[in-house]
Amino acid sequence: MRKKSSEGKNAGKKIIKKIKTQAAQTLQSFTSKVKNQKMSSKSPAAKTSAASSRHAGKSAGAKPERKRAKQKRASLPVVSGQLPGPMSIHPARNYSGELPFSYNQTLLVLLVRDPYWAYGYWDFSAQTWDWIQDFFRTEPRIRVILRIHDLDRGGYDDLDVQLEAKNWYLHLARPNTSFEAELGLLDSHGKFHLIAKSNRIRTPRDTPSDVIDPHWGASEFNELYKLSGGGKTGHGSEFFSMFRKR
Amino acid sequence: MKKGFLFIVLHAHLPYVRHPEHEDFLEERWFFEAISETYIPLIDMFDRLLAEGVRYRMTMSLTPTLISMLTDPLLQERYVRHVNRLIELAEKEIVRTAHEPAFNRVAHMYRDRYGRAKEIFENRYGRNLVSAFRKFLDSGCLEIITCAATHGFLPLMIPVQSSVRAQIATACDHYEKNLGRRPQGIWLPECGYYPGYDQVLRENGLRYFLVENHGILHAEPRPRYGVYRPIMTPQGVYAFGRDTESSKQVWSAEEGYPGDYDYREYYRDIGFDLPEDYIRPYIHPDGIRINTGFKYYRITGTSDYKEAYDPDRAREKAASHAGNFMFNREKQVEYLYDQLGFQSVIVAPYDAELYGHWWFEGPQFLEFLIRKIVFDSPMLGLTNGPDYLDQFPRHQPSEPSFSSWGYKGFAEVWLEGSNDWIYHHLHAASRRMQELADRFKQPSDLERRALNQAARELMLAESSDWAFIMKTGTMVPYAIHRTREHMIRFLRIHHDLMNRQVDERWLSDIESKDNIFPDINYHLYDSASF
Repeated sequence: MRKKSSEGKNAGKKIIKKIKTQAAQTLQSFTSKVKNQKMSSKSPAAKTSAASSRHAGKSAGAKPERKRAKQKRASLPVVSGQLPGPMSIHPARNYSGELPFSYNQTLLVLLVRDPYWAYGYWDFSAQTWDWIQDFFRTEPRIRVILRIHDLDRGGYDDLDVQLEAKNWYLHLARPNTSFEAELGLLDSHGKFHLIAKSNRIRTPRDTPSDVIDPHWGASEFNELYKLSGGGKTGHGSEFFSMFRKR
Repeated sequence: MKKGFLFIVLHAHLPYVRHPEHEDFLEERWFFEAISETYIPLIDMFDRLLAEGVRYRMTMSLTPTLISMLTDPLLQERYVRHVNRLIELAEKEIVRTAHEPAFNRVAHMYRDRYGRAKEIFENRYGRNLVSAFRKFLDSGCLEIITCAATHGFLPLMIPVQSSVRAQIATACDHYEKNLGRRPQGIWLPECGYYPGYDQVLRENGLRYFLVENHGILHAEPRPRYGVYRPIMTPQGVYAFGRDTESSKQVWSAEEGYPGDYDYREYYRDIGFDLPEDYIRPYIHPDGIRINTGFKYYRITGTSDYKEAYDPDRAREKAASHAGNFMFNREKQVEYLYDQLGFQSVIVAPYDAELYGHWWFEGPQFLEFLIRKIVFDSPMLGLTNGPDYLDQFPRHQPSEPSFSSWGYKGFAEVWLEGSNDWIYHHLHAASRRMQELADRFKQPSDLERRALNQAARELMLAESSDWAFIMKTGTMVPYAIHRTREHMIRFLRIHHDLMNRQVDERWLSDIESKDNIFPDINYHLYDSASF
C-alpha cells in the first residue's frame, strides 16, 4: 500500500512534466492547477471499500430517501475517488516497453462496478487535445466536468475532475438506474462544451425486484429469500478469507 | 421419487502459463500442483466409480486455457519431470523420517501418492488427462461444461462486445475440438453475468449457465422458487443460482469442514520448514522457498502447535463430514418439498482446486458423498444441467441480475485501485482488433497469421486472472508483466499490419510462445458478424 502511493506521487510528477512539454507556455494556469492538486495518501481501494461499507447494511431500512422531484439539476450525492496517477505510469515501470499514454481516440467509457459505483475512463485524439488547450488559453477559469445524467429520474450532476487523471470512480449511489455521462468544459458563463459522451450503463439492483409475474406468483418469496441466503451478497466466496486467516 | 436434487459443479481453471524460454518457471508449478493434488485424485475417483458401475451425476467445468495446457506436450513433459523429482524427494523423506513412525507413515503416503499419480498420468492416460475427462463424459455421469476462452471477466467487457463474442465462440469451438461435441452448458468466469449476455450464449447453442445467488434472487420478475429452481432468461437460456447454505458448509472460514483439526495443515510444508541444503533441489532454483506438497501436520487447533497428520483419522472425518453434508441437504430438500410443495435443485459450485489442493481430504469427502447419496438416500438425488432440464423443462421466465461470485458480489475485485488501469488498454486493443478484422477481408497468409496471433495476444491479455492477482497481491509483478507483454505484442502486430510490414521472424517467435488456440479465427471480431 505504501509503495503504491509513493509510486503514485512519482507518477504524478512525471505526468506534470509531460504536460509541461506538451503544452505551450501560456498554459500556466492549467499546470499550476496540476501542481496544486492534493494527491490522496490513502489508496483508492481503501476509499472505495470505506464508501462501500457505508452501504454494507443492505436491509431495506438502511437505504437513503429517494424522493426527488424531476428538476434540471438533481442533486445526486456524487462523490469521487481519485487514483494514484494516470494508468500508463503504473507500478510496472521496471518492465521494458511502456504502454501508450493515449490511443489517439476521443472517448469516454463507463463501466458499472456494483449497485452504487461506476468507473469511467477517457482519452483524446491529438485534435481534441489541441482544441482543449485552446480553451485553457482563452478561458483560464474553465472547469473540467463530468456531467452525469440520471436517465430514469432526469436531471444531472456535475463533477469536477482532473483531466490528466484520465479515469475516475463515480459514486452514483443509485441501484437499478440508467446513467450516461459527458466529459466537457464548463466555462465561466455556464456553457458546457462537450468533449466526449459515454456509453449508457445501468446499475444492478441491490434488493429483489418488486415485479411479480401473475402466472407464477411469489407468495412464499420472503421465506425462500431467507432460505436462499438472500441479503448476504458477496459473502459466498469466503474462500480467501478462510485461507488468509490461517 | 426424489424430493430434491444436488447439482455439484467443480470449476477447474488455470490461466495459460507456459514459458518455453525458461527451463523451470515458478508459475508453471500451479499447473503441476493442480494435476497432482486435484485433477489426478478426481480422475482416480471417477475411474473407481465407473469400474464399480456407480451411476452418479456431477459436473466439471474445464476452461479452454486449462484444456490447452493439459494437452500441451511441453507441459506434459515438464509434469513428468516434476513428479519424478517429487518421487525422489519422497524416497529421501522416508529415509529422513525413519526414526519417527508418525511422520514416516506420512512420508510413505506421499511416496505412494506420487507414484500413483505418475502411473495414472503416464501409463493409464498417456500424459493426456483430457482423454480421461472425455471418457467420463462419454459414460454419461460426468457432465463437462465450458468457460470463456481465456476466462475474461465479461461484465467489464460490455463496451467491447466483439471481445465477449470471441471469448464465447472460441471456447465452444475449442470444447468441440477437444471433447468431440458442442457444449451444453457454460461456467461464466467468476459467474460474471450481465443482462443481455444470454444472447451470445444462445447463439453458440448453450442451454444453461450458473450465476451467483443474488443473480437469481434479484432477477426480474421475482423468482417464484427463490434460488431453488433455474429461471429462463429472455433468450431462452436457463440460469441456475448458487445455494449459499451448501457453499458455506464447505467454504466458510468459521464453519466449514476444511478447517477441521484432523485435516492436513496447508501451511506446514517442508519447502519452508526444512533446512535449505536439504530441500534446495525441490524448491525454486533461485532458492525461493515454495510449497512442495509435502506437509506432515494436521491442523490440530488454532495455535501454532501442530501434531502429526494421521491419514486414517482424517479419512474417517471426511466420511463423517460427507454424511453430515448429505444430511443437511436432505433436510433442505425435505423442507422445500414438504412445506413449500416443490422439488428443488440445490446448486453447489466450487473451485476444483479446493478439493485436494487447499483441502487435502476434499476428494475423499466427495467420493463418500457421492456414494452415500447414490446408495443411501431415498429423497436426495444427484443431477446435472442437461438431466435436470430434460426432467423439468418448464421454468419461470425472468431476467437475472448483474452479479458475480467474487467478493462483494459484483465487479469490485477486478475493478479497483490495483487493476483498474488495465481496462483502458484492453478495450483499446479490442477496438483495434475489430478494426483489423474489418479491414483485412482477404489477407495474405502471413497477414492471416498475424491477425490470428493478434487475437491470441488480446485474449491472453483479457484473462481475468491478472486483475485478480493484482487485487489479491500474490504474484503481482507476474500479472502486470503478462498484461503488458500481451498488450505490447498486440500493439506491435497491429502497427505492423497497418503499415504492411509484418516481421515474419518475430511473429514466428511469439507464435511459438503464445501458442494457445491453434484454430483461432480472427473473423470473430468482425463487426459484421454481430
